[in-house]
Amino acid sequence: MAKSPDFGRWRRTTPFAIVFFIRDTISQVNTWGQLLASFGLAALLVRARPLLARVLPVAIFLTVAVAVLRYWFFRFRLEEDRILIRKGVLRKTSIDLPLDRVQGINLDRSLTDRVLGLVTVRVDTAGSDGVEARIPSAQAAFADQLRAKVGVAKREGPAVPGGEGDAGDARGEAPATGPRDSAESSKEVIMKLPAGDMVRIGLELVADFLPATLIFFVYDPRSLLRYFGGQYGFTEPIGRDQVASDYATGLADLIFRAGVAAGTVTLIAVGGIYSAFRTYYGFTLFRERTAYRTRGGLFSLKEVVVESAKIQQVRLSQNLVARCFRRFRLSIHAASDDVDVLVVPLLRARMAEALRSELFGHEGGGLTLLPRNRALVRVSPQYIRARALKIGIAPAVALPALAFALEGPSVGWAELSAIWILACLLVSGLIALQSWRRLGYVHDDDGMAIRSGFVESKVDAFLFRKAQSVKVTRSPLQRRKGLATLEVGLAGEVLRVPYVDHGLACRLRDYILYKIETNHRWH
Amino acid sequence: MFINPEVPLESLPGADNLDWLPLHPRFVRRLQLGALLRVLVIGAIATVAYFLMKGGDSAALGRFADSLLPFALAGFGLFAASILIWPMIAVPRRGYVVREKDILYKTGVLWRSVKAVPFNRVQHTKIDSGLLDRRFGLANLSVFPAGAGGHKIRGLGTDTAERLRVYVSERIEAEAIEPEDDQNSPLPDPQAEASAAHENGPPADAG
Repeated sequence: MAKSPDFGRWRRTTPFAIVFFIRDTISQVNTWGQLLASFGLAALLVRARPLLARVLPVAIFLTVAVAVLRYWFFRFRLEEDRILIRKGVLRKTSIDLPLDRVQGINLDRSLTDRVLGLVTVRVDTAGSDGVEARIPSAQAAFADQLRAKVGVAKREGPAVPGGEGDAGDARGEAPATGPRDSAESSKEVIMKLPAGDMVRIGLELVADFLPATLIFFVYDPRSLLRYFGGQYGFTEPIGRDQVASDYATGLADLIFRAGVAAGTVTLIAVGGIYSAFRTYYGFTLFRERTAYRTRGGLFSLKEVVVESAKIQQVRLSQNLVARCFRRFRLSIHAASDDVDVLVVPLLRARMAEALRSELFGHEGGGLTLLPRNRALVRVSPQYIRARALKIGIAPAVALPALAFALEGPSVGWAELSAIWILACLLVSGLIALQSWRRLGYVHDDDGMAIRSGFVESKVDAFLFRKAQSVKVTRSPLQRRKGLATLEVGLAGEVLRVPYVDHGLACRLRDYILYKIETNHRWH
Repeated sequence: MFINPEVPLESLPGADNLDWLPLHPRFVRRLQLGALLRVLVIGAIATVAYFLMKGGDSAALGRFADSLLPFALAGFGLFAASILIWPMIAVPRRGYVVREKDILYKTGVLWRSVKAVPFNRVQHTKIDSGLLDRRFGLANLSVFPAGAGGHKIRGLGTDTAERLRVYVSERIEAEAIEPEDDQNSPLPDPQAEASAAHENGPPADAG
């Protein structure tokens, strides 16, 4: 690595990219294929283990062969103003990407990449055509050159993120390029997550799985274990009917089952903490002049860059466990349909508000990201009625109607139906009430924040000038009550403010349109 | 409801009292013909299914088919009548307005909505017309901004759709060429310059 290689001619990446292509080949087999493959594997494990010894090597050989072919046919070239990529074994694809269209250069560094000083470059474009511009396991100097050229293409000089972000441990000896030194001085660490926070992030995962552990109070955990053990051939198989549902009887049984549930929760927590360490270890959020950049990861290091001008929407969310910790999760959506939004997995309320005011600049001073902020206004309580009817009416009517069709009318049917309908309406009413309590919005001259959620609460904030379309919808009930639903289409998703005053919705629509039409800067 | 000293709200152009342009008069006929074809296909399938059930070996299945027949006929009649009549109710309530800066489309009978897409956010436009559309001389115009909030205006005359598409393209280009026309707009936006200065870079235009 003494001399910077010439990327101006057609090149292959390093052969270590084969590892990437193996993984990519496996994940590219689409969802159905994956389902089929995993069920097939499970079936082989259960039913025909001898066959496995023959099928598995063939499958592995095929995957590796495809990966090697894909590596061989993957070539790229960096010209003055564009990147060209040619790839594809059977279906040839060639990508021509003008550098001034590049939104950001994200880096992934897997363990092999880090040991060998390589980078996987993901070029982020604003297009909605889903161009896959990813160059696996390239030399680190390529990322530097690419960044320098993108910087020239955008005529922003040293403002462009230099290559120092990935300069890290693995390749301190890499050649220094021009913009690096100046960018070094402009880099500023906004926040870092200590190892203790990894535990918190991991525990947040538990909230999603907590309801599932209730199964141990309905089914005997021992017979469940025996059933699944038997299915996969570890123990003597037992029939499904032998897994009887038996509610816990007696204190000792209850304590035993609570212990099993607690053990499962602990296992999930350990898994969550591990995955938090893997994804976010050493998580750092930087500011580099006009861009924000995160970096983190234990084995494979992941970098995401978002230019501040491209930010479309900022979301702060908090689930039940995070609420206990009084922490939030922040995600920043940019003007591309890349799934890799910039995520800050754990931060405090003060930090969130500081970031929000920084991201939006002087605009949106009256907004908030905090779900419990008093500035958020509730929507009309009519929402509860409409929502409860919408989710409750179908089950409330369907079951009695089905029973009527099967059994015919009787006194018992009428009684049960009445109880069932009441129960349905009660439950849906409670759900609707909770949803309504979560709903809220606040706006100022420049932007809007919308709170929503059910168990988890989240607040989406955006600036009016980032909007793409505005819609006002009115249902029959809303027309009677003088209400309306305002829908604002952003580049990422459509945000709704349901059940606000119709006049307000129309005024807001006209105002947002005015803001859009007098301002061209949205990405 | 919100306080905004710089922009008097009353002066904002409202989207409430507009002269909505109707869709092409032949569009109702086109939808009805489409519905008729669908009714015929479903009816044919149902008839075949009925005779299959009747002609099968199982007598119970045949009796079941006979007992189902009046309900099926009534339901089918209702369905056919409703989808044949529905276009006459729904189409007059749809309409579009093209303004200097945006294009609006309203739709809906029970759930009514009005959506506006500003030209300076439009990424691309599309005209398509199916077999039936062409038979009636109609075309559909789609306007796509970034993300998911576009228009699909169905049932325009072919020439109207083409004229609209050309106009929309012209407006998109005009908006892209003069990104600094904030001063020309009826209302000043003092914050635009300030924010441009804040980010100390040239504003990225949509092109």
